[in-house]
Formats: sequence, C-alpha cells, structure tokens
Amino acid sequence: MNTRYVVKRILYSFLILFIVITLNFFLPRLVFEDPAEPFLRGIPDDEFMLRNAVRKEFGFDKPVWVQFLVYLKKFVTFDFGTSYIYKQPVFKVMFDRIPWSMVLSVAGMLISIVAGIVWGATASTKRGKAVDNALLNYATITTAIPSFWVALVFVMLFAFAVPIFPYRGAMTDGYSLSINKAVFFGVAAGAVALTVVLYKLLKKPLIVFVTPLAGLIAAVFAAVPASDIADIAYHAALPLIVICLGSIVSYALMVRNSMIAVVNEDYILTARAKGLDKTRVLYGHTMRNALLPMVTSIGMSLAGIFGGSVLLEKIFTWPGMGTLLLEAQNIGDFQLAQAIMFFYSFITIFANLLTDFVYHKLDPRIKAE
Amino acid sequence: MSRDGGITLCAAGLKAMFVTEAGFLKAVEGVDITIRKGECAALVGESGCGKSVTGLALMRLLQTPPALYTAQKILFFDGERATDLQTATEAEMLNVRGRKISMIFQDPSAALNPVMTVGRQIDEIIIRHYGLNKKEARSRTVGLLRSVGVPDPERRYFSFPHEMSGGLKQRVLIAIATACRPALMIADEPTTALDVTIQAQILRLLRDLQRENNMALLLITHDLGVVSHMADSVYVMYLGKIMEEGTTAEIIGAPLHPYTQGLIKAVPSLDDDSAVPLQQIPHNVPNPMKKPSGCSFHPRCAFCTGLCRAKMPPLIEYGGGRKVRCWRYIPDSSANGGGDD
Repeated sequence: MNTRYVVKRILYSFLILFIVITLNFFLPRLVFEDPAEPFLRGIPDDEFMLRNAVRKEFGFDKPVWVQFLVYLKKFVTFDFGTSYIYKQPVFKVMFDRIPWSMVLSVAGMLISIVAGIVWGATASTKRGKAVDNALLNYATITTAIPSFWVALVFVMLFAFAVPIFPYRGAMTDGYSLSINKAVFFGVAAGAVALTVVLYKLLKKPLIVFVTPLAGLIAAVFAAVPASDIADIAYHAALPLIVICLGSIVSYALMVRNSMIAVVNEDYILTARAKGLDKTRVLYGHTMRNALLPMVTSIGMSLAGIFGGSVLLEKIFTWPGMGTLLLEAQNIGDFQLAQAIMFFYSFITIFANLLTDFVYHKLDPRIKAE
Repeated sequence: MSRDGGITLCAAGLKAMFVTEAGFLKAVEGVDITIRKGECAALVGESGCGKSVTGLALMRLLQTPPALYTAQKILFFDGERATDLQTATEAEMLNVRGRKISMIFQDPSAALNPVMTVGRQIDEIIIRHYGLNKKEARSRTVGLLRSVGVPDPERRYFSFPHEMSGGLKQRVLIAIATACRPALMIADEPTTALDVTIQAQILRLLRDLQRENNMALLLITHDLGVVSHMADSVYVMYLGKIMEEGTTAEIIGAPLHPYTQGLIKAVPSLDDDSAVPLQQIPHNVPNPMKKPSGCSFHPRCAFCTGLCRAKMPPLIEYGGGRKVRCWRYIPDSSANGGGDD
C-alpha cells in the first residue's frame, strides 16, 4: 500500500463528505417552504419585529450562498448550532445519545459475529447435516421477515403476554447514569495506546478491530456501577435478541459459503499434503482466506455501531441516535437532523476507509492502482 | 535411472468412489501399483480416467464424504519397515504426508495460499516435521528455494504467490514437496498449466532432484512426451482400471492395448512430414457414472468383438513383467469366455 494511494483515498473521502454536507444544507431548504419556519413556530404571524429578529439571529435574512458559506465555516469548526427541541448545543445532545446506541449495537455485533463464525464454520464442515440445514432454512425465514415486525411480536409476547422483559426504555428510573468519566476516558485512552503498541509489535491487522473494542467494553465496565450495568442489560435483552436473530444468520451464512468455497481450493490440499493437522489447516489456511469477506461486512456495519437502528430503537423506545433522528425530523429541528445526518455519513465514510486499509493489509493480492 | 530393486510403494486393489446425488461414481476400480525405490512410474490416461483420484487416494487425501475408498493394502516401505497406509491411523498419516510422501499439483497458481508469503509456506512443512524454530526454518527455506532454482531466494522468501510467475510458483511447490526429502513424490500433471519452455525446465528440475535424493516419483500425466522423457515404467489407466503396464520402452515402443496404441498415434511428431492427418481415438471418454458394459473401452475400440461387449477382460501377465487387459491377448478367449468382474 503506497502513500499515493492512501492520500488519494483520503482526499476522495473528503470529496464525498463535502457532497454530503452540501446536500445536507440544501435538503431542509427544499423541504420547508421557509427554512426559518421551525424557528418561528409559536410566534404570531403579525409579530413582524420579533420574526425578523429571529430570522436575523439565525442568519436567514442573508442570501442563500452566504448562508451556505457560514454553514460550511461552522461545520469545519464542528459548530452544529443549537437544538430547537433541547435548547442545548447539538453536539452535546448527540453525544449524550451515542453511548446508548452503542450498548445495543456493540453487544449485538459481538454476539452475532462470534456466534455467526462458530455456526457458519460448523455448518460448512457438516454439509447436509442438521446444523447446516437449520442454518439454510432459518436464513430463508429471517430474510423474509422484517426485523421490526419480529420486534413488535416479541414486545407483545415477552413484555405483555408473558411479562419477562420491560417493554420500553433503557433503565428503570430515567437515565440517571453515574459514569465516572475520568475512569472511562482513562481506560479508553489506554486501549488506544495498547492498540498502537500491539500493532507495532505483532503486525496483525485484526488488532485494529479487536483491541479498541475490548478496551471500550473494559472502559464501560470500569466506569459504570455494576447495578446500573445489570439494569441496562435487563432492558437491552429483548432488543438484543431481536438484533441477533437476524444478524447471526447473515454472518453465519457468509462464513459458511466462503468456507465451502475455500475448502475446495487447491492450496488447502497442498496444506493437507504437507502433513498439517486439521486445526492448523483450519486456522492457518481456511479461516484466514474465508474470513476476508467478513472484514468488509464488519467494516460496513461499523456505521451502525454509532448510528443504531432507527426502527428498532423506536419500537423499544431506546434513547439512542435513531430515536433522536426521528424526534428531530418530526419536530423540524433541522439543525439537529443535519448534524445527525452528517455524523452518520462521516462514520460510514470513515469506516469504509478503515476497512479498505485493513483489507489491503490482510489480502496482499489487492494492489493499489 | 537407478533401480536397486527395493520397493517404495505397493498398492493392491485400490478402489475409490464418490457418493453423489446421482449415485455412486466409481472413479478407481481395483488398481495395483508398485513403485520401486528411486524409479519414476508414470500413470497415463485421458482426463477423467481416475489418475488424480488414485494419487490422492494413495495419500488418503480425499475428503470422506463424499469419497469412499478401500484397498487390500497400500504398503509403504521406509527402510526396513513397512507401513500399511490403508490401516494407518490419521495421526500416522500426518507424519507420512509431506515427510515420507509428498505431492505437487497441476495448477501452481491455485496450489499456494494467496495470503501467505511463499517463505512461510515452506517454513510450515519444515517446522511441522523437524520441529525447528522459525529462524532455523527460514535459513533452510532459503536454501531450498536456491536448490529449486529460484533466483534471489532471500528476497523471494517474502514474496506472495501473486508476485511470482507460474514456473516460479511450481518451483516453490517442488521446494515444499522436497523439503523433507521424501521417499516418494506424487506429481499430478506438474507441467500441464505451464508453457512449453518452462515445462522442460520443471521436468529437468524434477529429474535432477529425483536422482539427487534417490526419490521415487509417481508422475500422473496425459502427456506421452513427458512419459518418454521421465518414466521408467508406465501404467495406462482408462475409466478407473489399469489397461496396460510395462517399462517405458515397451509401452512406447510396442504398445499392446488398442487404447495405448491410440494414445501414441495421437501424439503429433515433428519428424513426420507425411500428409496423413493426426489420428485420434474416436469419441470421448464416457461419463464414469454410465460406464459401458464389458470392456469399458469397447465403444471406442477398432477391434471390438461380442466378447468385449459382454465381459471385462482380466489384467493378464504378458511376459517379462508386462501386463495387459485385452481379450486379444488372451488365448482361446472366445471359447472359454472367462474374465473377472
């Protein structure tokens, strides 16, 4: 991987980001006849003085291109303005919600990836047996049924008919979470440092994925009281089950199919002809090649880690980014909506970039042009 | 080539079949092969005759299921000791594969792990069988790369397969296969995927290494030119059965079986300037799922008789260790109508 390629890829990502930011500016101005409208709600139509003062305050009195430049300048300095709903800086509102989304998505992803690899690998070695048939049939069913429907049915069944799980929220009383921020950021920073050191020492690209994740989880457990974690886990159980029901299968199916393809490759035969035992052939040769497509898939779902799922969060009234986006959109808090959209795009583009680089390290065949 | 009389491998009654959705596919039906120390035996036949499956079955490398295989015996002689590979445990087989018997394959581009440096792939077999550490393995690997004619081996150690040409990759595979100085190497179409000039280099390398290490070689090929250059003895295989066997001089010089004769006639010759078009064996190899009755070669044979259609001839001794499976060489065959399966 040469420097030119890296620079090119990064510049390209910035270009996409700029396009997103531009769209982000014009979309609300196309949706609302008067973009200042949400800011003027509740002010009587004849209060011209006040209305004009508000317009001036938020810059709507200037020509659109000036507004755009002002907007760009604010974005570059990460000033996303003030939320209309929360009367707080948008940045703060967003970052209060991100951890909640992450609780569901990180846990869901970890469970699905591990279970998916185990199930998929087992199914690939036992083709036509019960494990394999179960996977294939189950995959047909889950892809046919949308997860929001499963979520609704599960709420009906396990929160109302048989009330084992709470039906809404992330904690029993409000969201009065006592986080020891110093500890949290301390452990998190430690994890980042550890990642760098481990990567330098071992040169294994997967460290880039695994260590920060492990560090994040360690930081949460270190900074949040155990009783709170138990309470959140209890509330998260039902949404997690719904998330995993769908995603385990998709990972398992991917692993199964690529394992089957790789097992029949000649180089696996070469490895076996060397006298390597089953375990070494599996981990040293089969898995290494079969899991390459997983990297792409995991990279793509990184955006979901911070973003959460809008529909599932809505159904379970989970206080994450998904519900925040819905609120912002319903009320017309477009400063907030813009910031969330920007955040989603930023994470997606960044995740793609990261995946590309990691993939390059893992698969030497991919040459930068 | 050296032939001190001792036997390296002696397989008898080797059978292999595949369980498919359409039924049993009998790929190998009772093959006997004997390979002497340091000799090169060739297994010849068209595609789909069960040659590769025979090679894989000898090393017990077929995936079971879908494959099933049996043999009366597969005796492997290592010094004074004989091991029956047919009854050996999987753990014993792991010590035979790579160390005592090694294998190289047709397509060098597919036979190397694409995400591992070639150096590591050679290290692996050395570490596995000699228990050396990485550093020691690496210096041996570099030596091996040099011995198989890879230029600049210190640098090539770090190359990935996609950075090498087909010929170099085949050299790397030969390095893997000779890393533990095995008594026998099974080479499955080692030059088919390479272009002609490289083919000659690779064959020369194989022959040199074979002589140097006094290694026996089972050469699986469809190329009679390769056979006449390399082999001491030849087994001609058709639809899972040995049709004829003998020394290379006998088989190439005076083929007995109509199939062998057809194969030899189908080889174009540079000296032959006659206007006679190149002869070929009529039709294709039949689907192994639907083998013809009687002698499996009869639908393509010019000498076919009623007996050929009805019964498979036995593999008979023709004299001087030479064997052939054809009714034409069995006296009174039309009278007694005998034969095996």
